[in-house]
Amino acid sequence: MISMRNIAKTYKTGHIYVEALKNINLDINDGEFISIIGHSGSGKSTLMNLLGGLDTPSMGIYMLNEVSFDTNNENTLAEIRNKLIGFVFQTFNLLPRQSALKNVELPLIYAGVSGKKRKEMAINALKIVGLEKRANHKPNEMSGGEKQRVAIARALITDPSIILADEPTGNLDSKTTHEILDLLKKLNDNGKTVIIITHEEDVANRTDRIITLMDGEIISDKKVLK
Amino acid sequence: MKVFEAFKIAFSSIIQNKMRSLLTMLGLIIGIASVVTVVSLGEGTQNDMLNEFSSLGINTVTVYENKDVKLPDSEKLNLDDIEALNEYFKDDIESISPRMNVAGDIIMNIDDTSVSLKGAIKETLESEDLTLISGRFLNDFDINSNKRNIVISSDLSETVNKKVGDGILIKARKTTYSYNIVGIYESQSSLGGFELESIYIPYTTINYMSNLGGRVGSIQIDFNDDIDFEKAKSDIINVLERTNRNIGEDLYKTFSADDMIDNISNALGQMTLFITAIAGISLLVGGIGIMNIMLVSVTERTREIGTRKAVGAKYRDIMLQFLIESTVISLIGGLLGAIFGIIITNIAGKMMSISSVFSIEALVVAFVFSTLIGLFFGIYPANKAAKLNPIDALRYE
Repeated sequence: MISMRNIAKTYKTGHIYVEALKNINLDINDGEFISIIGHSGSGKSTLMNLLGGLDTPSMGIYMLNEVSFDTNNENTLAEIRNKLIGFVFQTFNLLPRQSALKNVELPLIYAGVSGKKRKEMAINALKIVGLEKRANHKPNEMSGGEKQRVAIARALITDPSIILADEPTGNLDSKTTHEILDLLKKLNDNGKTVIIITHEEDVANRTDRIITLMDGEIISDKKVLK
Repeated sequence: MKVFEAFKIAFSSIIQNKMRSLLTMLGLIIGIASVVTVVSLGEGTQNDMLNEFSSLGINTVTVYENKDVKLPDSEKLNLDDIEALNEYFKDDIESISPRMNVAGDIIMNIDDTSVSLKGAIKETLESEDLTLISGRFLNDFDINSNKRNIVISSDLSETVNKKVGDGILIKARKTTYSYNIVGIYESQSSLGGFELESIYIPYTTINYMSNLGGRVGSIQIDFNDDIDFEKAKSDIINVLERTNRNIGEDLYKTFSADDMIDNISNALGQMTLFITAIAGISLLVGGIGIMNIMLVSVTERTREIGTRKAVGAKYRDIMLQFLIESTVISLIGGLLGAIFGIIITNIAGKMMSISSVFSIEALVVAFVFSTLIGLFFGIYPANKAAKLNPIDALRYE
């Protein structure tokens, strides 16, 4: 359950203040499948950073699962990212020299889970994305779609309530795009809140609700009719 | 995150960059290897010298006059002083003998041979550790009656082609006398190489010949093993000052093998310190090398750091990861350096015939130093990594 009230984010670049987000009011319920769409510079990346706890708002109140996000404490934010949020990035962001299995295990290292348990859980997560046979392959031995599925397995492994996908299909061909979106849909069917940040209408239309950002403001928030 | 996990991450990163890690370690390997080598060889040399000196008589004290002061003839060391010292120490000494050397030349048909005439008493045979191979040593009669009887070395006997019973002409103090060879001792292989042949002659004869009036060059005392050596040395000075009525004037000095050892130890210690300081500079350079490569590594792995932070790594986790990596690099460098140091010590020791001492201290120092260097020079890069903003780090190209 996400709730944002009057959120604003201002950056200072040199002597100029840039208002990346202003007056954001947003509620996302548990189990929603939602997309945030906008052109580059619309503030969608900033919004994602705030939603994911990579950054904190300059103003306003952000509640995640009834916990207020008004902390600037790095460690608390790291813990929230570790336990409540699973990130999926456009560029996959896998550790290049580690096997798929080790990559999936990564969040568990920081959660303090022991080695044996980690491996078990990672294999399970790889099963969910259908890659258990590729567990010992390194990222450079995998296709883009496979890499993204490893990244999704990594996002899943701490069993967070929210999966936050930043342009997850931006580097993939259309066939693979569909596979990844199907996978995200499957996760949503299993109860996860899935938020996709994208600039592609096709991708946004696959979700149940589209929030459109322009110049740092929400200009529309509508259900997708199917 | 557990520290153990940080170690695993650090090791895998070092192994992934084998060549780079090895080159980074090189500074430390060289630094630690030289420290270990220098310290071990220094200790080995010191031990060798100790052994050598203790075989020469570690209980021997030489008493001599303070060369910085002009002593009146009456207060110079003489036979009465020997008598007084003998009286004072009695049972504590094995032997006490005057020492006086006079340079001389053996006069022969073609060449003169330079020799050193050494004043002797009958105990000199033992105190100098001489082995007679023919004839006899000087006896009380020779000494009491200023006999011109001498004992020469086997080498000299061959050189001048003389044997026991023969006469020989020696010019000393501008006067030439004929001396009788009464004994021949076995030549010792000398330490330093070039040394004059020693001829032993009654000290009374030298005294008479040189018109010394009982004065001696110096006094050599061989003490028993169980004596308090330092006390004995100060007692010697006290006795001499009382006998000559010049208390506190600091006219007499003592010298013993342990003073020599102290001197040599000091000199060696200073040399070791000096070379260690130079090696320390190479450790410093090695440390800077580690810092440099860690900074490169942090920049290179910015995205990795971003990813780690995005999935929940805290400041401490990243700090620990990089700090352990730099420390492990440094520590492996240090241990490799210590191993090389031991190998070099052994080879160099054999080549220079110094018995090499395996120095545990050097190993411990290597271990501690390399750990500290790794920690110290790792802090800045590790902090830089840990402080990275995850958003910027994730976007870093």
